[in-house]
Amino acid sequence: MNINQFKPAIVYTIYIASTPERVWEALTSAEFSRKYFFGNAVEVDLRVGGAYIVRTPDGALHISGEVIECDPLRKLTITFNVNWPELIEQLGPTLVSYEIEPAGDAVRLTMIESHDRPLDDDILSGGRQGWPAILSSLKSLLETGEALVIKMRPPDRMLAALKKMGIGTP
Amino acid sequence: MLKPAFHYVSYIETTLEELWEALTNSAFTTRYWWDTSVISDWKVGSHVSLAINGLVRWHLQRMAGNFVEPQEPAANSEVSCEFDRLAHHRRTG
Repeated sequence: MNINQFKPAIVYTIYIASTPERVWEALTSAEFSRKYFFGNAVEVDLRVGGAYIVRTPDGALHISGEVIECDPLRKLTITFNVNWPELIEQLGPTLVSYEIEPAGDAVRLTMIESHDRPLDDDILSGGRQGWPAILSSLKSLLETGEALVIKMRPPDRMLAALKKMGIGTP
Repeated sequence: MLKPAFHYVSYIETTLEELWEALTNSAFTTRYWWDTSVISDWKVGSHVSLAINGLVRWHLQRMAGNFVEPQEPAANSEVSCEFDRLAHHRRTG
């Protein structure tokens, strides 16, 4: 897979009063991710080619991917493929990159979601809805010790667009 | 018709009232906006001024659109305060 063919579709930056070590741990550990990522557990083998998976609270495989770039405390790039029937065939792979930079007493975290083809706004609306909630909750967790409790509607616009394309959705 | 050019969403554990205060109270804005006081009476059509150390540096004038004010307080509502197009009149000296 040539990651140079991928173009950023969603970019989200947030500053967190924390350290690169803690942010890195929050992004890569199941224990942390369950608290800020809607109960989902991230399991990652932190080496290039290693597996990256996300399990739903009931243990089912939700997202599967592999590590593309791993520069501890600075950058993690993974494929991030939601495990719904026909999704990857229709939309191609999803690439997610996290970049961590020190910024004074804080840390600047940037998430970049990229795709190898143009996707329409209906499809991208799911990520545009989800990432701010996930990363705001991660920030709260690291700064206060408590993740946010966010009540959110399902990403109806995205789900309808996927359904139209014949992609199986929950 | 003016189109959004930049869009940023954040979730904050707070209330609509506190968030509105943080966006509109000049003493509050100085604490997170590099000592900048945001000054306005927040009426539609009014100027919004930005002052640093008491000196007005920018006047922002609303050109179009409506302020969206908090309605019924509700969990996780989004409060937006849009300046749309900003007319900058920089005061010299």
